[in-house]
Amino acid sequence: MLNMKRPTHRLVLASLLISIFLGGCTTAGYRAPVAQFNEAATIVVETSRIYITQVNRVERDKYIDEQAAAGQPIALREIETQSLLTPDDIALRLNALDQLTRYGDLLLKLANSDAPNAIAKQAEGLGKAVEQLSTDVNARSGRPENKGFQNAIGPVTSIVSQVARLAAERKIKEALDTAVKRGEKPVTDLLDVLSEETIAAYERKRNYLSRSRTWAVDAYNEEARKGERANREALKKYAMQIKAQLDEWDTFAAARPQESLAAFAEAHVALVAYAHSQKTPKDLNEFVGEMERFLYRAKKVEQAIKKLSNL
Amino acid sequence: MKKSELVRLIGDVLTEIDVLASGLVPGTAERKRLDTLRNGLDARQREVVKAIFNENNKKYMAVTTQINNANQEMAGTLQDLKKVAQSLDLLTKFVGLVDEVVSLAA
Repeated sequence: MLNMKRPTHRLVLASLLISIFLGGCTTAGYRAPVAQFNEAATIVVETSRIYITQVNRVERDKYIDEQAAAGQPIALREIETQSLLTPDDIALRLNALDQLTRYGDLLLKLANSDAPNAIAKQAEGLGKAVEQLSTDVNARSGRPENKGFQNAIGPVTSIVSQVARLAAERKIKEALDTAVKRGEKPVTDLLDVLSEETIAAYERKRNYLSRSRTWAVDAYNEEARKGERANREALKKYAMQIKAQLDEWDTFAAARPQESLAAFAEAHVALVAYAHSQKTPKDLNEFVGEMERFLYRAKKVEQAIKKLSNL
Repeated sequence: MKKSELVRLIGDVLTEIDVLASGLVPGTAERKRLDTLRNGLDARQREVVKAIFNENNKKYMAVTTQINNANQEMAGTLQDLKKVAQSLDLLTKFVGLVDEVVSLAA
């Protein structure tokens, strides 16, 4: 039990009370949860990036395995037609994911507000990057695949200039609140579009892995149907392949990038709610809890994806 | 139904088809027909992924509701190896409905 009569403990208590009080008028309350938000956001972006970058590889591998399973010839021309996205389309999506990372970084820098000039520069940097992204999106607006991004990214530009100005004026807490409040809709829209994209990428891979299970079982059963003439070693090998496929299938079920994007969206709602709140200790407590949950969910998906790549 | 839900629902059906297929001998008439339906549904899922839909369009909403109902109708049947013929008929209907939704793409 704490002995509150000792001067050091009184000092600790006083510091805590001051921190809670300052939480209402400085960025102090934001620091730890925004750091968690930023860490989780970085994980979500990285895990989503894996699915987006692999989308064409999944289609290509699937085609090759299908041809092999059916005993059909493989044609390079056919392989080329399997791609779902062009390299430019992929770059666009990765750039959109980068904006989420930059948004998290900007919030973290604002929350730690040690170097206002650097923050102003960061905000301007985000502004330029977002404008470039907006230009890229418009340039590709003829392709229906990019229409969702076109609608989602444009409004992001609106949050940046004001945040940069406030940061330059060293109105850090106001800049932080503004970044969160004005980022609400554009970030939500961007998360929606990215979620749809990653669900599609995930489902195409699920489709491939599901069929791979059937091929593995077919190979085993074909050998097993030979009865007495069945090659025992081959049967063991095929059985191992079935087990490996099923392990991958089970792990894949937990490696859902949309789960971490949904966690991101919920955490962002909590972030916005905190920005709008009176920032009482209760508000802060709820905010911290939400960020911890976000980080936990993001790490869970990350672990499954890492396990998947090790299989 | 949102497009992402449609993609996922088709994925669920593809997964059930694969489980059913693993119980049928490759090269038999039933398995061949099932493989053909699987290939068709796979191709359509790909088209749905690439397509843009107006999710508020009445026709889109009506067809996706039918797809949902067709999926529910198949529940329990696709897992039953004694009902392969019935499964194949239901799947044919399902693929036809997905075809219909693909035709609504902008």
